[in-house]
Amino acid sequence: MSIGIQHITKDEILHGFADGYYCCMSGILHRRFQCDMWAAIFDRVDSIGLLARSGGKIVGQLIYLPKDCAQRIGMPRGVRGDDLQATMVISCVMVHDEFRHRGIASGMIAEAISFCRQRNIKRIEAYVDPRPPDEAADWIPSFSAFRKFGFAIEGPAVAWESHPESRICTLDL
Amino acid sequence: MGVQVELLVNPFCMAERDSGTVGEICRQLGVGVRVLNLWDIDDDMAGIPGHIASLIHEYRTGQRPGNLYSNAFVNGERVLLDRWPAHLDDVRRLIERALEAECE
Repeated sequence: MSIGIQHITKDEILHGFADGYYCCMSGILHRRFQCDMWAAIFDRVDSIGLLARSGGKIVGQLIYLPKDCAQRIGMPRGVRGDDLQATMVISCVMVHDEFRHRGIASGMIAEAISFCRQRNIKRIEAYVDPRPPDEAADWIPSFSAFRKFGFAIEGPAVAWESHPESRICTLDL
Repeated sequence: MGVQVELLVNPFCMAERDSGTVGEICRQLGVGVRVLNLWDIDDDMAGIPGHIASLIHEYRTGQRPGNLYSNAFVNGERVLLDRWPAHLDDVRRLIERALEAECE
């Protein structure tokens, strides 16, 4: 079955991605904890990320946000002096277990890079586990998924407080 | 003065889960909880308790690695909510201990 990759819409942010699909940035109008962050980011950037679907079922997602927004909520600061508004942070890449090894993550990363180029973004940053995929933590994307697109690890700085092996990788556009 | 519980919510990911679960523990133990959302807090930290303001400052300046989890505080003592669901036991234990100390 073919995989389709589409940008998350404002309607999906406000009302939900799909019945039974839990993701915090999905469906803020239906949540008890209401926060307009994702809607505000969408209004500024025209996207917050991508969904991969197979036969109507969501099988993967990639989320990004401008670095000034990411820093506001405590995401990694990074080691270089950044133009925060010209840097996009890929903060989440997930593919459903049974759909892995089909190029879905690569397809979403490629689409994210293309989107950033169109928006005159100068740098993309991602938080990765640099170890081989079979040793990496399951909630952090493996660096191998990004390396093929030219991303490079930004030195020894730890990205995530809860995961000492995590590192920051970047791609200058 | 009472037991002070604060929840510093990171709205990226688990905001609804964390506000619901920590709120329920507080309700069961009869203490209030002040919920703060990182997205709503400006760099001047106006009105933000010092122990929370210093943590946010450390995140935003890079003195501390980043995080996408929420933080709970019980009388200023921090619990990072990154070990679901075991971190809830830590929050409950700290509140119970604070309540016991209050009775002594």
